[in-house]
Amino acid sequence: MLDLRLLAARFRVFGAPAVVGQARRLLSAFLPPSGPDGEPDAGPAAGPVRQITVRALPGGFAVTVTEPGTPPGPVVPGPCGTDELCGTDVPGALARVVAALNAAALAQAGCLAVHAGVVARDGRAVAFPAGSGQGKSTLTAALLRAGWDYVSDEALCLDWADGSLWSYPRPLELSAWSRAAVGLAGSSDGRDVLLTAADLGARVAAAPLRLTHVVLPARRDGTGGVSLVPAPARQAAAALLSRSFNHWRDPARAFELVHQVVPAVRVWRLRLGSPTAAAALLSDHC
Amino acid sequence: MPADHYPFGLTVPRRACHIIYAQVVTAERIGPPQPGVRAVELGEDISLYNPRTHGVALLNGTASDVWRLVDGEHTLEEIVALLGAVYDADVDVIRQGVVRTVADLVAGGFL
Repeated sequence: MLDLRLLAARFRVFGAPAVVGQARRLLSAFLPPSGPDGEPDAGPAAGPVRQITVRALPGGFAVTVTEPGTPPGPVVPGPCGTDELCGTDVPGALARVVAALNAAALAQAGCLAVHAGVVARDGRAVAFPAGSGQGKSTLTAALLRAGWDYVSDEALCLDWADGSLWSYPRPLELSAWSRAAVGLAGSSDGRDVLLTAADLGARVAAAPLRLTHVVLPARRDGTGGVSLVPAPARQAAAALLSRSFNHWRDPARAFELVHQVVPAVRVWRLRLGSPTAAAALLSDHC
Repeated sequence: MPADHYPFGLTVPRRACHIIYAQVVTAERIGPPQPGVRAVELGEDISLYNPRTHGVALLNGTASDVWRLVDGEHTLEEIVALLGAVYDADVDVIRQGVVRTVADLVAGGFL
């Protein structure tokens, strides 16, 4: 069994030991701290717990998310149910666990969450808001390999109340191309792989963190030709608002928060070519 | 309905603009902003938030200059003349840009 806290939301993952055991390693950044009695500390906001059950199937695993207050189903073998995410093996099941945690955490996040990669150095954070498939995880991995600390490859999280930056160091899921682009060995089957910051030779960034740069990436091709030019602040505001997962929770506050944060950051437009070249350029300028 | 991008930095559905365009050209005074609209300076640009629709407009420099003049005190021609004194552009081009920007702001519920 694995108790986790992601973006102030609480989760319990239990079931197939082969999957839960590896999930513990991948999600170690989200284990709650221990209290004085050595037991996991529930934390100041001990809210409802969402259950994620992993059960074995003939030939694979099924992952079920159970809402708080609903008793989880029994962990028994059987065919894949219509409300389950089914994977054929441990890596597949792990990917589904991480995806389920991510979706639920972002939906419940106690922060303004913006779709972005974020890295930091000496407490100064650089965010690159972008949509899915635009190279955030690859660029994040390249920056971690270049010595940056890991904040997130999924979300820039700004506290609703004071705009402070929360870490969300979920495992990075890198394709074979991405791993090769940042100089990592590939897996023999060419599948996507989940990696922690430590797997990339990096640390999770320690609080407090202050957002100092917003970088707006535009993909070109993977063969080089990167460039980094200053961009107007309103483009950063547009990216942060349009890429937000949950601005609808408090639109007025989301607008205010973005306009509180953006004047204090430098804004850049990055023409992405080679991820490692982009990482080197960002390391020089940010 | 495809959105149209105007040179002054806003987007608005084309169909709404045809009706509003005529209203802008014939109005005695342009503005003032709708009650409750929040305007925030962002460098030299202005961002707008409409609490009724939760819409946001991020104005570029020229659209921001128009916004600063749509206070209900100026006619369209006065706005065009004031901007003409600042921008090195043909007055008809400026007028066209102002009309489009104001129409966009009306369509977005900011004016």
